[in-house]
Amino acid sequence: MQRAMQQFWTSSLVRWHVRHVIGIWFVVRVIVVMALAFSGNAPSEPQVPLGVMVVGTSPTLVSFVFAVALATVDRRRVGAPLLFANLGYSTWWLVGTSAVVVVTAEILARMVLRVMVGGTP
Amino acid sequence: MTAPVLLAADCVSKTYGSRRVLNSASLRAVSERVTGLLGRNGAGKTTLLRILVGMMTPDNGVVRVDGIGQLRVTLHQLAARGVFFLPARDLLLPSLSVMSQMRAARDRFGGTGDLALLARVVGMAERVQQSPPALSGGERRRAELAVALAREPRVLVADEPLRGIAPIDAEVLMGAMRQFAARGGAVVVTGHELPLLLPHLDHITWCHAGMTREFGSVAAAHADFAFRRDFMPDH
Repeated sequence: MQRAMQQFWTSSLVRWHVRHVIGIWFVVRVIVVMALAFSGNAPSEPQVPLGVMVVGTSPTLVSFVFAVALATVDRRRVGAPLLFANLGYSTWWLVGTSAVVVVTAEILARMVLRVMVGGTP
Repeated sequence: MTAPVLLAADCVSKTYGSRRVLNSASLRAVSERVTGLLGRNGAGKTTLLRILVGMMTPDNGVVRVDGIGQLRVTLHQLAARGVFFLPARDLLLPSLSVMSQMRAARDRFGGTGDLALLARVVGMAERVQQSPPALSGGERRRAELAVALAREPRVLVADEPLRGIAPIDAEVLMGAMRQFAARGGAVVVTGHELPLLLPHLDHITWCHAGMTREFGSVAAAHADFAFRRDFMPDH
């Protein structure tokens, strides 16, 4: 178990995967927030409150699902999942680790936001 | 003594919608042998390869690993048993150096191979610190083979590894595959580059209209009129 954990963190492939998932999650999160911000009739007066856009349940869930799906399938760089499969990592491993990374990133981002705005955003 | 069959797809069939792509086709990866799966475009070669490496489930037939039939196999399960699949498209991660990916592949299953020596074998000694986007098409294919061999597989399955690369790169690739087979590995390779492929093949399996035919040696394939007519019109 300890060897497996050590191998997990020392593998450049796994570190690449974690960075890759964070990148995808960040881009998806920004797009979702922007889409909500511009979903009102008048762009200058969005109908969705800022707090809901950033930490609302629906935007969070949508970002989670899209980020995990893109990190697992990632058609643009379709080779990546195939390389992982060639090295014994299953699709469920990709899904599971992507989900853990996205949830961790979301929690950390909220903590940072709280510190920045001085309370619950 | 007969060389062992490490991986085999026996009598597999596959239908896409109403189109039957494979009809009782078979393919074997045999130790110390470079097997060429040849055939026209659309003959079912890639489908057969994908079934062999667990990327696709056949409608009928069975995949055998070390002679034992598997109800359902996936590539990651086969990978743990020493199978590596080189696809016709890019395989490597774009933002990691080739050496990093070779090291990750070697360390994943506790390998101990000399990566610098391996890089020299595939002619990549000067370029292994580069990431794949900085490499030419031929270098990228050699880098992919280097990563595959760094994993120290038992079976290497390559889908059109010579497509679109220079003859000199093709020679290096096929030479490295031959060395791998000489050390006991099994290689299955597809392609249309006959002048580059044939000198390196020990065994030919011909895929035609969804069925396969075992020719054995290159000479036996040359002697067959139907093979020459369909696949080597100049001969």
